[in-house]
Amino acid sequence: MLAYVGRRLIGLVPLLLIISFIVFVALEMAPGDPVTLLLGQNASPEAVAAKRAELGLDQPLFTQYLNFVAHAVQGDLGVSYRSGRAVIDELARTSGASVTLATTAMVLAVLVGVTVGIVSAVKQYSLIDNITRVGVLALVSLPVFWLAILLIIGFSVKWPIFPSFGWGTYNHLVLPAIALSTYPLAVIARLTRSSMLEVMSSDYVRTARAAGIPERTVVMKYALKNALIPVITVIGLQFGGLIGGAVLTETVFGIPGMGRLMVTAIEGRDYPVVRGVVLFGTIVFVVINLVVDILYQWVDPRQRGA
Amino acid sequence: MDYTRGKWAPRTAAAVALITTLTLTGCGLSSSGDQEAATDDITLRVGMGVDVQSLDPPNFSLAADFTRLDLLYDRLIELGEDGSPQPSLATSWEQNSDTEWTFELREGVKFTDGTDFNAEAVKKSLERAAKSAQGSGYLGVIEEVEVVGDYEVKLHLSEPFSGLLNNLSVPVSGIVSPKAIDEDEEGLGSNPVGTGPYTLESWDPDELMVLKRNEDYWGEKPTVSTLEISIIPEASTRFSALQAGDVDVIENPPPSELDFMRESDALTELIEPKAQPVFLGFELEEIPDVDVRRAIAMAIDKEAIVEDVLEGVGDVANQGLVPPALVTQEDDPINIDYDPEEAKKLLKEAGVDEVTFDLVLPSSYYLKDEEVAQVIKSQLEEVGVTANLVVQESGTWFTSLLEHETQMYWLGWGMTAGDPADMLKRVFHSEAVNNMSGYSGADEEIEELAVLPVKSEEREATINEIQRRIVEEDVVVVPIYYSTNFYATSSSVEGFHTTRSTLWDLTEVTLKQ
Repeated sequence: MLAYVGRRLIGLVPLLLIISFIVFVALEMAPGDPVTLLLGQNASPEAVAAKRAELGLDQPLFTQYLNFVAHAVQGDLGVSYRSGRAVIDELARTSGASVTLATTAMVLAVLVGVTVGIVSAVKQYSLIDNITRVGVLALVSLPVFWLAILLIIGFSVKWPIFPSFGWGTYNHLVLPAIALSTYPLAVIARLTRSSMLEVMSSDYVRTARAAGIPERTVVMKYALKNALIPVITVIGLQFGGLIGGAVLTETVFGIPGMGRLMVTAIEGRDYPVVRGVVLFGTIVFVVINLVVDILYQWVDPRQRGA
Repeated sequence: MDYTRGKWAPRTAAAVALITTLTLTGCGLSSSGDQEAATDDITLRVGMGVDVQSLDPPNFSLAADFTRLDLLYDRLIELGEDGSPQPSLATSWEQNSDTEWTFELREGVKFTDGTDFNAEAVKKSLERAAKSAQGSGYLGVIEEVEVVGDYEVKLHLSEPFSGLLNNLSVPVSGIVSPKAIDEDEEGLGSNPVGTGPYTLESWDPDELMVLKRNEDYWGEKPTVSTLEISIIPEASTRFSALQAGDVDVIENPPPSELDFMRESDALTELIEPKAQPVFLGFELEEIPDVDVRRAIAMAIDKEAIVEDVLEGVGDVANQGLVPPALVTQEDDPINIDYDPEEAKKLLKEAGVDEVTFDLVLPSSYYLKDEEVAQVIKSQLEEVGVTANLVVQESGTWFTSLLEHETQMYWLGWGMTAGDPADMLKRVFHSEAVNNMSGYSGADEEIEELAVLPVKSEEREATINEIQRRIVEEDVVVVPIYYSTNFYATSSSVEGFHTTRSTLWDLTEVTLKQ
């Protein structure tokens, strides 16, 4: 197992190299110049040239890339063009909020989504099932920022239960987590339902029922474990997306997370920060996928030793 | 209110208010002793859209940074209500020649780290700013700061520059503790040390900055003792936060809420002029015929734009490019009047029939850019000109303009130093980087401005001559509106004001309970 994890982590290295190179090229090709944006409308051409040299932007792209890699392997991702703070510190400052928010939203989405999916499958075509299916469709279609604004108007302005913005206490977490959880919740509920339905009609479940095993045990123990395999895959994918992709939620609720860091960095062409966030996101994504693979083996003995 | 609100007018106002209060209280007409009690300990919570990047004056990255720098650092000069330079850390000054100025400095002032403010500190700060990438845009003309005495400096300039005093008033010229520069220059961005009315208590970037009043401040102390600045990027959330009572003041509320605010007893909108025209510009090489440009100018109904699209958050720019308070007004306003019939005639005479021009604009940088551009597009259609709107993300848009990849462009220009000459030089001199139009018809006059004393009759006349040429004769740009600072406050907040340079005036703020 350890060897397996080790192998997977080593595989991360070439991936990070390729991704950072793609980011380098993409940023180079993107319109907009970091130095003119940084120095603003009043800068003299000399000042622009000097700053460009100071930031190393006058070097050929490949040299810049090699410099970046040489520093990155020592854990130095450079310094933000804008704030002058180390990129590593910027990531440390913002990742806490992003991970906390994404995790809470994901836990919420899994608990509610899986439960709703099971109930819906077990009571197929019942009133509950119909309500759930319509509800899920609605949740998938809801724009997050719109829902977020509605939540603020409802629970901060009309009924002042939760703070309207900010970060730091459990109270601050509630509304953003609800807003962020809706989409994965809907996806998980829908997938759990269809996956459960498929498993429930399979031979071994019929056999278990025929053997007189109580329905509750059949559903929760025999059917669910198999039905969850595709769900786990989706949970992994959604979770990776949530950590770096909560831009809208973070913006609407004023949460100092990585999504906002990324957007501000892109707007200001703050290359080191953009690269830092992308690399961090890549690592998170790979690690989550690794965890998912390990979970597979736990859920599905057939995968063990694979 | 005429010009940048300095700390002078409010001082008079505060004195009047104080005398009135005392008199009333003395007569037993008012029971409000609470107002004075409140001035001692006011916490004001402000919601802003973007955070400061650095608190080191020469390393500012957005003009928005100036609001916070202004509170932490004093400059040698501040601008009075009429735009004239007023003493701040400098008590008096004299221009010895075109390129040499002497300043007498205030004695007995200390930086918040205990260091004495003196001539050496000024030399260190200003020379550092003049050499820095961002600071050089304002102070690059300073060649040397000579220490004449403990409290006297002489500034040697590399070329004549009459706008020096204005630029010395901009927060980028804030005087930084020399000790702090020596000990931790890199750290200044997050550990500011100035002589200003506030000190930094704590700062979580993109989240919350807390400023405490500097109780040893040499000048008039602001009434607000604690300032909590929260970052709330989304306008509708800022507005909700204000409604929910989580903040007291917000910048740029959603303009769509204006009617609501005007009717509401709980909220008040604050729309105050700032020194920034927003205009439609022409790339002269692409649209060389001045009559075509004039026809386009005539086809635009600015009043409809300001009233219907901006909903009054802005002033119609029908008095030239320079907002009227910043320059002496002439009897004949500098403007091309709205006249679509004449526009059609002009186009016909020019032999132009059904043309299409690109208009490059940012997706959201100034107020409602896309909506305004849509209205301009439909107004131009009336006279047979098709505007092809090219909406770009703000970083891309500005680069497009610099690289002249436009035919018509949308641009605003903030005059943070309050000197119109500065904008003219940066945007309309043929050698200026930001000469987006590629204009070269007023170089001589623009250069002249550098030697004419600020606010002198001759200089004002020259400024008007230049802008008349740019707007009326050569039709390089069509000024559309003058921007305003746009804030909303809860109605318990009184006396919160902004300046034309987009700074805050906290000297007369009171909070009703």
